[in-house]
Amino acid sequence: MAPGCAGVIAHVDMDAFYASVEAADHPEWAGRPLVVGGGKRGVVSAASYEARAHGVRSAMPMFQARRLCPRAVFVPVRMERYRQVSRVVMDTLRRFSPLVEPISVDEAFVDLAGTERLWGPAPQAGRAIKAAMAESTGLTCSVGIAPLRFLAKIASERDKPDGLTVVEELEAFLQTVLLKEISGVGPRAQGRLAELGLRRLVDVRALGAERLERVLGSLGRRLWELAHGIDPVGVGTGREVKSLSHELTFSQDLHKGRELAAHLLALCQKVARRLRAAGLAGHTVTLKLKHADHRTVTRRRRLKGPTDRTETIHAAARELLAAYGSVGPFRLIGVGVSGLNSTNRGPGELFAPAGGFRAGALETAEDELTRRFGSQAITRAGTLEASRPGGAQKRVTGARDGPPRGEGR
Amino acid sequence: MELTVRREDLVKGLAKSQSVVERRTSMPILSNVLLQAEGEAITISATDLETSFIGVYPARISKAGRLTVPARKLYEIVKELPADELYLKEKENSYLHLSAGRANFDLVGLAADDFPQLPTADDITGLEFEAEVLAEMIEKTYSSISQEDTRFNLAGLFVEKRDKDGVGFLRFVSTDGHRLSVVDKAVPGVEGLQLEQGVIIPRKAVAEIRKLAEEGGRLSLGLNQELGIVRRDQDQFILRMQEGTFPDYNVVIPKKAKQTATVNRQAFSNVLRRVSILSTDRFHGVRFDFKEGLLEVVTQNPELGEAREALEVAYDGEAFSLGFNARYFMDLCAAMRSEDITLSFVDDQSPCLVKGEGDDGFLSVIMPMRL
Repeated sequence: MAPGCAGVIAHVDMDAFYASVEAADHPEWAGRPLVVGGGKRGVVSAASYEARAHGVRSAMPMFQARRLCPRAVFVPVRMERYRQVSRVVMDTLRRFSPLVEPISVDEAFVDLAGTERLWGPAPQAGRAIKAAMAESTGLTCSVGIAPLRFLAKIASERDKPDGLTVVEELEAFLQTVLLKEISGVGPRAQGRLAELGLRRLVDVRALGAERLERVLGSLGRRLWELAHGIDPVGVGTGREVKSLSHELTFSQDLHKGRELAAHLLALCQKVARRLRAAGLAGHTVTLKLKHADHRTVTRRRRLKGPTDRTETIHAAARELLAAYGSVGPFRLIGVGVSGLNSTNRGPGELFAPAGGFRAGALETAEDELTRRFGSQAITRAGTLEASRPGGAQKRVTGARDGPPRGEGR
Repeated sequence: MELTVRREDLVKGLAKSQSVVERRTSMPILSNVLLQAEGEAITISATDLETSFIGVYPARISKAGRLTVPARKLYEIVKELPADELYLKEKENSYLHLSAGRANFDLVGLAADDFPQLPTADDITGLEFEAEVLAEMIEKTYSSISQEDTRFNLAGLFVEKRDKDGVGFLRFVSTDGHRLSVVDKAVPGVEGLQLEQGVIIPRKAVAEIRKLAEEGGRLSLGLNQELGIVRRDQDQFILRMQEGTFPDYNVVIPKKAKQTATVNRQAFSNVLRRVSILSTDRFHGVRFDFKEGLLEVVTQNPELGEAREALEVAYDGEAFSLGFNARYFMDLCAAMRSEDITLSFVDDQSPCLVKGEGDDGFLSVIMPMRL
């Protein structure tokens, strides 16, 4: 989109979504701090604003949350219920525009361009969205409306909870944007930028696109464009999944070894099953490891061709794990596949790839059993080591872009 | 080198040289044709090191000699020269002088010694063919040769010598991984072919053989494990075989069908051509809906709309549907000759077998696609 061009994009972010759903479902807890999280050693998935006032944050270990806010209500994650409410949220948004791109269960971009005659100017449309949301779900949300996608997201963060921020003056707003507010600028990139003495987005204008690109790669070029009010990404309908991943937080930190290997295989199997169920195959396998001290590393490998096979994904993930220099301890492991293409289209293959024929038949049978009797019906012997009870917490992501991401903040 | 030659002969030889030379530029001399004058003939040779053409034409030789000149330019000139007889003479520094009537050309050439030595295939036993028999065999297999050069073992025509009840026959097989065509022909003398295992003739060479075969008459085809040679009158192509192992195609030919449907080939082809107008993606996806006595071909394209057309078929099984690349069936209908063709199915994910009574020794296998 050209600078100054009057696109109208809304970013709608539900406030403390899981916690708010629980609160709405349990009026008897009204006013009490509420923490949603899993298991004995799991982490906080969401905290109500009352709990946040006590310092409870997402991704914090549950025991720490209990210590900070002992009088809070602690409830387990009910993903099925949140998905149900999420569908109502998205349906509500689709009343305002056919172009709705869900980013996760609790946030979405809405392209409001051309809807002025229906919903009035941006502030009025924003208020209408919030009112409709309150009516259909009983929940509050924060809305940011801006001519550019990335600014809409930043705007929704500026006034939370139950806020509405409309960016009317592009340049004036750009002046206020900090680099750390931009999605995609992680702690590492922030570090590099700070070394260069850059803090605000507009600071990068002085550097020039080439130099930024040298320092930060493709992110550098993107930042330079954003600083000049150029965000080529609009609102997609979100049908296209760009990566698919599963990850698991262990009950107890694990070193490299049989149990970790078993978890890895189980994750690969899940990812492969979901790829096949979605009719997708991807050519890049990503391994994610979180050390006991929360340092997170990802390692990726590009395969020769797209795959939806457990064996192929597992072979790549196993090699990535073996090649990683540390033996742990790790608190989380994740496997993702990206570079996805549909396998649904195109004529079938007469000749299965060498050595792959049996694997294909095996996995077809596996998928059929899973479909009929559930995911526990059949499992690989190699994953048994991982299926001991222990309340490990898993997380599933199907992100349109970027790395796996969490809910709430 | 000095000679006169009929323009018509030179045009023929140079025309056949064009498709051989035109692709490569890394070795400039491969863009040239080699002219050799000796005895009572001029020999024109062209090669890309894999496929070579050699044509021998009568000429009145005043002085024997050899020279190479750019194939494309020579062809353009010879086509335009206003006479039936042309005069060619080698001049100093590898120039070729051509004249006819009042037109004179001096073309920059390269020394003949730099031209690569062509493989000799004289000791390969040739099999005598009616050209149209060979043309038909190629026509039925050509479209399923893989267009992807990365699948090099599929990017050619697999040829093997087979034997059934003591009767030898020649088999051509081609596949692009999604469809397969097999054609068998009992050719007299096939036993004499020096072919222990099957060989793969590269796609480009197959195209040259096809052109030659379509000129009619008789021709001979000789093959061994490394080389092939095709001769027709004064023209011959020498081909280097494609390396690689052809897949075991027998395993993908369905042995038993659950349902069969017989349809008029021409009517089927017409319906496919019409309905696939709205299937614009590169897979040309169409759906076949079979009901008793009826086949409905359907395409649904979210951007363009929907097309459907029914035709009568001999089918009495349960109603069922499956998707295909329409292109594959259109190619097949064009290559076959039978009045009616029979499609045999196992299920919507297994290959479909196509045969026809008027296409003896031929079968094709086509994979369905998910729509």
